[in-house]
Amino acid sequence: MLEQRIAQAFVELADTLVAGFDAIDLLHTLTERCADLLEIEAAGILLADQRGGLHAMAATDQRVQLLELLQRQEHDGPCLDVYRTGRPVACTDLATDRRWPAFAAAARACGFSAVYGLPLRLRDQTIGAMNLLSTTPGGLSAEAVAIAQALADVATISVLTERVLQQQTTITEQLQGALNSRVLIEQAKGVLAAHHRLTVADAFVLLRAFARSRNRNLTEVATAVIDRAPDIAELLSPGASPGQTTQR
Amino acid sequence: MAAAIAAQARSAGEPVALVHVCRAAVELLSAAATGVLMLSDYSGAYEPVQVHGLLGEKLTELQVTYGEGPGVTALAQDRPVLVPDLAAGGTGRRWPMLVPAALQLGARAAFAFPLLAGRLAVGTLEIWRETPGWLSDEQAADALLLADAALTQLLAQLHAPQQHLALPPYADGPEAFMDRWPQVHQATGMVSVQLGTNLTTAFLRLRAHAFAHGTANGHSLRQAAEAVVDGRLSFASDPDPPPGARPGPGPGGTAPDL
Repeated sequence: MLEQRIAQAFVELADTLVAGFDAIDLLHTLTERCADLLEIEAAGILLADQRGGLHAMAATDQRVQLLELLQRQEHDGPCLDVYRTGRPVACTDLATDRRWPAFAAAARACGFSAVYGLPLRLRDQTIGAMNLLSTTPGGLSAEAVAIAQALADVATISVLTERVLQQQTTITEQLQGALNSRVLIEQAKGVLAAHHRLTVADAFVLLRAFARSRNRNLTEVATAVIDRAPDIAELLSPGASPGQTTQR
Repeated sequence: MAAAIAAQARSAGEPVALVHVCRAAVELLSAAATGVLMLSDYSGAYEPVQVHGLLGEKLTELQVTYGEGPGVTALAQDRPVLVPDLAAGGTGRRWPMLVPAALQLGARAAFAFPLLAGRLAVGTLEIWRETPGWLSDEQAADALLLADAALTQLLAQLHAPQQHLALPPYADGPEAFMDRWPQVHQATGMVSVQLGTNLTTAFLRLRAHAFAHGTANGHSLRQAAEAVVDGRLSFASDPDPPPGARPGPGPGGTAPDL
């Protein structure tokens, strides 16, 4: 049963030809599948901006605390180490680890006890890192880590070969496109949140569900929301957010 | 990178401006020509605002005339367009009018970087070289930082005629748009709904607010953005609590604490 779910995850992450394929959506899916298959509480992804910075791109959920925990690793933490060395990092007990005191304190404040960092690699170039976070101390099995790394490898190739990858510098075009997509999706979340009086976290759920249900690309739908395009009028209509946590 | 641009301004005895971004680009990237082109929000026109080098003037004019080229494509696709060899097969088919003319003028490589943050797009930074070849990794990183600086400069100029929006060019630093925190982008989207404007105007209003009420650095921009996202600050003229407002000071969402 587990093997079948793992196999399904590989197919899902490798299928870039599927209608509505979107790099940012795929990275979110990667975090969700890893958390699910490895039975951990959270996962997140940081990508390098090629200017010396790391950006939180995707996470299992949109809680501000989780996103901030991911982002702070730009300065200090397992993901920065992974990005710099290209090698995985494991910390089975944050209470006793001394490598990243500030990150460990922040992660523990969020309830996490163990953390793993895995590189997102293309050939010998590291383009970012995935974080696996667990609320129980103790190690993931070597097999579990290998599964997560293999899923990350497949997803990385999918993200970067969205168009033909011929030269190393083409990674710049791909990565910058993906980084900009994330910003665009944040803007669309803001538009939807203000429009429907939702939190930005709920706005993302709504945006993604809409794109999925219509087999549409997440970035394209986000663009249409910002442009108030007629083809997403339904998403901006008063009845578009049933079951969402309406504010006020 | 900010230091390299500032050095250009200092040696000329001028305040930092786009021209210094272009000069820094020529120096750091071994470019024969650089140009910054602006996309008008209102007309969709694409026009040069700063060009360095005679070759740059001609190439810019051709791109605007033909309506095609690496810069036009970069804006259409929201990503850099890197062309290490304009004479390579296929490149001529991509831009059938521009490429032969560019080659005739002596250009052999072109690198165009869109000046944008998400859907907020204001123009391109274009680098032209007379020898074919890729930018090194270091040069690519420099080019991306120069594009960030050009975006900030261009936005500072864009609404300068409107007094209440006029800001010193580096009021929020050249990296304002590469702000790591998503709240700035979320708030820009929210303010665009509250004001009924496009993202550029929404962002400029948000930044103007941060400038007027804070220390005019990136930190206050983020604080203003967080206030918008949390519903503590609204740009809506409606005196009622703003859309997106929530009771309580919590910084998060409705999701439970971790």
